[in-house]
Amino acid sequence: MSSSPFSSGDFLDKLVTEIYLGPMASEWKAVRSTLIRTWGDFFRALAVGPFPWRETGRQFVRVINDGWVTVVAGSVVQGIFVMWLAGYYGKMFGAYIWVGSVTAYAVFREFAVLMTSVLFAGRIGTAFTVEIGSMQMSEQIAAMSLMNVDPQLYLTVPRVVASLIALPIFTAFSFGIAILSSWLLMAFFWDMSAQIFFQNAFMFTPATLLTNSLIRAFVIGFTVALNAVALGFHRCAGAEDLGRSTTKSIVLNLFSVLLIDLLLGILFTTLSSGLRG
Amino acid sequence: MIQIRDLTVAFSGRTVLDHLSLDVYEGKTLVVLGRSGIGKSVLLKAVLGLLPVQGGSVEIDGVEVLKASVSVAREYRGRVGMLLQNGGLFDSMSVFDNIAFPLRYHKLAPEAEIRGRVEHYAELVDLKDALAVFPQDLSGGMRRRAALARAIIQNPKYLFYDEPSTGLDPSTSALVEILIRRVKEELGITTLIVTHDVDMVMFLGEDVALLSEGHITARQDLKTVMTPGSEIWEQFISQREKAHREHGF
Repeated sequence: MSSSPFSSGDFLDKLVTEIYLGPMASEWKAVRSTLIRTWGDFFRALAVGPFPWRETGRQFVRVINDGWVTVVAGSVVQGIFVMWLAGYYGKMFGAYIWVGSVTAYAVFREFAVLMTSVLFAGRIGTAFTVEIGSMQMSEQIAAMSLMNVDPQLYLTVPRVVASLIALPIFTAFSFGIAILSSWLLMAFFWDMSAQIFFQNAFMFTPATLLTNSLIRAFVIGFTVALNAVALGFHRCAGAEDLGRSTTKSIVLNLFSVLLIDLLLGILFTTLSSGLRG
Repeated sequence: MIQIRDLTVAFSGRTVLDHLSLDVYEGKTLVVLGRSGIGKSVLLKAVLGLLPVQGGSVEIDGVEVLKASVSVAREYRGRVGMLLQNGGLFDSMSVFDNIAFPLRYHKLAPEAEIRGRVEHYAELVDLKDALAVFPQDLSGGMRRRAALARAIIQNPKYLFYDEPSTGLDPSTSALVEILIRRVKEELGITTLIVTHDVDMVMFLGEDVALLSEGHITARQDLKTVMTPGSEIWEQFISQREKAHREHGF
């Protein structure tokens, strides 16, 4: 009979729940059931309807308004960061003419979607958790149920749908801002002309790279919003509970962003290399 | 009529309501009296399906709502309005939009009619001048009045009040009591109030029930309750004096 913990089938589960989380293990189980319940309720509400068009529109405008400054700032930093690395090593090896290509590839393939998603989880996701959590504390969600208004239909569906549309828009926006800011810096420091920069920039960036990133943004937008809203619905009796839910929301969503980006990235790469034969 | 039978509610292994039975008669005001944390709010929320129950039945106008389909339960629970302890007003909306919310959401009336109804009910609760204000700018008493207007705008047959005077000073509390009586008399709504406020019992109660140890331990009419030596007097109202005496005051 095995005495080694490595031979146990549920070793990973034990590692996470008993060793890493320790006394928080039971709390994590409660969070897990809240997440499962809210994900189920979301699809149920969507199926039962009616679809809340007006509230979804309102949430979409709100998400765009709340998020665009953060996305622009993050995209400028991202463009400069990638360009600086590419320019530094490009110049070292006499290949800085290709800086545009490297920057565009890195931004389109990975940086734009990753950076925008992380900022989205921080700026919009946590706002959803805090908003719904405080609505729960002040009995606004109970009031909705009393008026025969399904809180999932009125609160969850609009936020999730608005997010899964907004994040790809933010990502596309981020592509443009990052490339533009990297060229501006390139022109300033290395005196590179716009013609050379942009000519090389899109030489190795096929359209599929762009669509793959937008699909990843779509899936991440959906997941981040639904997790954030679910944690807002988690048991929330006071300020301390709300603080805990918000922390869980950001930690869970950052892991989700990384994991989805990695898995879909691998999937798309495998599919495209398979198609090429 | 609302009939509650053997209602049992438990949280994390602790039984809050233990086979509680209670009848709410049409046209009457029933006050459920009980200490803080005894499960008074739980009772109201369980009846309205806001909390999961472990057993028992709730009949509203002869229809069992705990085991009914979602649509039937919704229809019958829709006959009951409730004033929550915190009011539950949406802080992203003005008082007007809060009161109009159920009518607009369920598309129950055209906008012009909604405006008229909101103004009528705001006037009934003395809040007509604050319709453009947001809930965060209202006092506790005004917030409760706004929530009351929202609770009655769909003309419920029954109205539940969860600790309506909690956190209010005596004069504001008295105003809320007057409003509850006015709403009851003008709209003929059957009223169920849960509270620990003896003054409220004296002003509003017709029937009084005592909630203790998870179930109703006594039910009497107001006149009997206010007689020293009566069951509810002994079990609840005289407790304050007894506590003072025990601590040497």
